[in-house]
Amino acid sequence: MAGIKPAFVTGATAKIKAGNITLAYAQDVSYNVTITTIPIETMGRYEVVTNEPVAYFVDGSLSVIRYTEAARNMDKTNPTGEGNGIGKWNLNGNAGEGSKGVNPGALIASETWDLEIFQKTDEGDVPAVVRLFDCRFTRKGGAINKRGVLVEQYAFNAILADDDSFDGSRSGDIDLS
Amino acid sequence: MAGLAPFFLTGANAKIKVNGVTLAFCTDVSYTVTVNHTTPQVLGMYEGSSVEPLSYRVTGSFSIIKYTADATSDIPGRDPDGVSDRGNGVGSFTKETNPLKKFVKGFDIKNGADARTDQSLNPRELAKASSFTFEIFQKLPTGARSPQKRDGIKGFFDKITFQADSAVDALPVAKIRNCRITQADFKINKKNAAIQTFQFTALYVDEDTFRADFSGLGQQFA
Repeated sequence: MAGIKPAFVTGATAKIKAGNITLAYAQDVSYNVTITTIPIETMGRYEVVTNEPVAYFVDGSLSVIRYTEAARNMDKTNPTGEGNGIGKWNLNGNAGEGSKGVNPGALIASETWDLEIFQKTDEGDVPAVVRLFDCRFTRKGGAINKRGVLVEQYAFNAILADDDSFDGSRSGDIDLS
Repeated sequence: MAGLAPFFLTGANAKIKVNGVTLAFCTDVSYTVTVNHTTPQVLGMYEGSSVEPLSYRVTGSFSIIKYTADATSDIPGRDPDGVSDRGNGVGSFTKETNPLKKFVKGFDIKNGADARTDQSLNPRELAKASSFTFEIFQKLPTGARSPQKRDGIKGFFDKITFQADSAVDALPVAKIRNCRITQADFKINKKNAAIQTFQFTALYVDEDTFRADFSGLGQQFA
């Protein structure tokens, strides 16, 4: 009966990528897909006839244990470390792209980013478990207390979400076509 | 009991076309058919003696989320899904830039797709401004509609021809004919996207169940 390997997605085997960069000190990730429906209610009956889908929203949050540039002195393996503030999140391969999403002076130049959650295995790369497309920050916060570490929380919304069991697709038309 | 598919016409599955051109960034559409009546009151009766129809009038409005021409080429980064490279101002609704298509549409009597919606808002063009057709469809899943049902309803003489692309599965809901824009409003505020609202007046509204016909047949120049 021996020989069972870790099989499930756990916090210990999860890997988070935002804008194609790994968030190694991510602590929590959550997301929600909300489909708004309207009830078709008619006179003469108690139950709704149908619940018609009318809108689709994606949002979520993640938190990161924060460390600063000074941490390079504590980590001899990373002597050029720059800290993991959002300004160092080079989302989509663009320097400083992360901070553009929370910096008023740069918001007009900010781009969306994709969030991917992977399950680490000993078999190399595997498809993402969850993919959230075109994310944009909506809130940034932080908290520290007497017996804890500084944790920064980020809320975001996205346009589309799918997972390893299906490909998400868009429902709209091409304008003026 | 399972297996219910989205069935009713909602904002999320509606498709709007102006002269056969999709308005994908449309947010609101409404139209009103007004049939004015009079009730003759005669001496010796309390109630009206009849209800006489006097006139038929169509008005309506639609709104779009406005984006500018050249935005796709001048704004860096990936474009939002579905936007047009020529902007979605009123001058782009029916402006055919492809010379070949423009030539073909010019002879498209059925669709009349050569009309330019912006002519209704340009003083210099008003005298020659042609009307346009406004259509509302209910989108269906791709491939859901059988080809033989794509054209028409009812009998031959009641048949209503909609301009839905045969490659797009959509159910015709309403066709508003001979529209002219009578008012254009632009609105933007701090926390919202720019919205353009157009009021229009039209001559007829066909729906999926009937065609509104010309009432003066046989009288003009008889």
